[in-house]
Amino acid sequence: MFSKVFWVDEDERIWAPERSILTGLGLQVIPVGDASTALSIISAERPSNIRLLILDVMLLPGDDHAAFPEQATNGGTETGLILAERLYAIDNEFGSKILFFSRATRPTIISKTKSLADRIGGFYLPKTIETQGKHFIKWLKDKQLVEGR
Amino acid sequence: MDKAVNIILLLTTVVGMVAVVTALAVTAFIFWRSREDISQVKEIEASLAKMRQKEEESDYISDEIANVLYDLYELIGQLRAYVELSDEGCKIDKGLFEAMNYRGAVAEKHFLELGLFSQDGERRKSVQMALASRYGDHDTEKIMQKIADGKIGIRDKDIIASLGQLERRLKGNLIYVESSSWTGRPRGGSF
Repeated sequence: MFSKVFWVDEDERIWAPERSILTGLGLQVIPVGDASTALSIISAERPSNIRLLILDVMLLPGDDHAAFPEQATNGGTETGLILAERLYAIDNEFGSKILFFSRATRPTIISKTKSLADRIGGFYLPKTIETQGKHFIKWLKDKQLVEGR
Repeated sequence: MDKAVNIILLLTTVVGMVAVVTALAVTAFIFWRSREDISQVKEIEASLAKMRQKEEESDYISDEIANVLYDLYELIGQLRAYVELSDEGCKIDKGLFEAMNYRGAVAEKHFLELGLFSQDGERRKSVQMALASRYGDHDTEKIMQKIADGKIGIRDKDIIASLGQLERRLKGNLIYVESSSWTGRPRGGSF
């Protein structure tokens, strides 16, 4: 299995324990700070070379205002969903690599995220205390995203 | 008739003299006042320049404190990951230990860079040497250059030698710690 994990979140220094868990499991974590940069970097990759694409939902759009217009991203609160749609449109195989890892609490956004994850074959995990540390490791093992060693 | 003319002439002369003396006095006052004002404006300009210097210095120090806090958070995160992975019986990849060593060195660099602004001359000298010989990178070079130019901080005479040593080491590509100054805001700056 390939070891690249792209972590798209504007605050690349947060979630240190979870990023470090992935590193400790032998994966290469590549932080990306905004949706425009993520679209340009990830679309240049072969989906088969990627283990996981971790996307924040409330995300900075970056400089590509055509790909991530204010209205479509709902003022930035749904940028991650637009990014996922665009990657999926480029290659359907990206869909099954996507994990929406978000602390969004608005029911409409959670519902949209879950429904998109289902449609593209991706995953959704709320950022809570129950998904940190050992829970995160178990989740990765359950989804067979890491070897159960 | 002549007497009247003489009186008028005398009065005119006296009034004229009084006017001239008054004008001279007013001119002298304006001149003195202007000099005073110019000197006060210069003082205000110097104070503003000092304030700007202090402001830049404060920005730099607060950025460094933010960097140190992020470094410590990262180290705690790595330690927590190690504990959680061990508890789950996972084989831990050497990449995590390399990342911890790297983060420890970056934290050391940020602590030393904070020391460049210490009020203790011995501490400043010590960190200048440590940054020059091992921990300093291109960010350090920029800030030490500003201190050497007298733009911020306290300009010690030894900083020139330390800066020279750092520049030679970086030109020789002997870089032991290299970190970007990401400090919390996507467009740069702290907080």
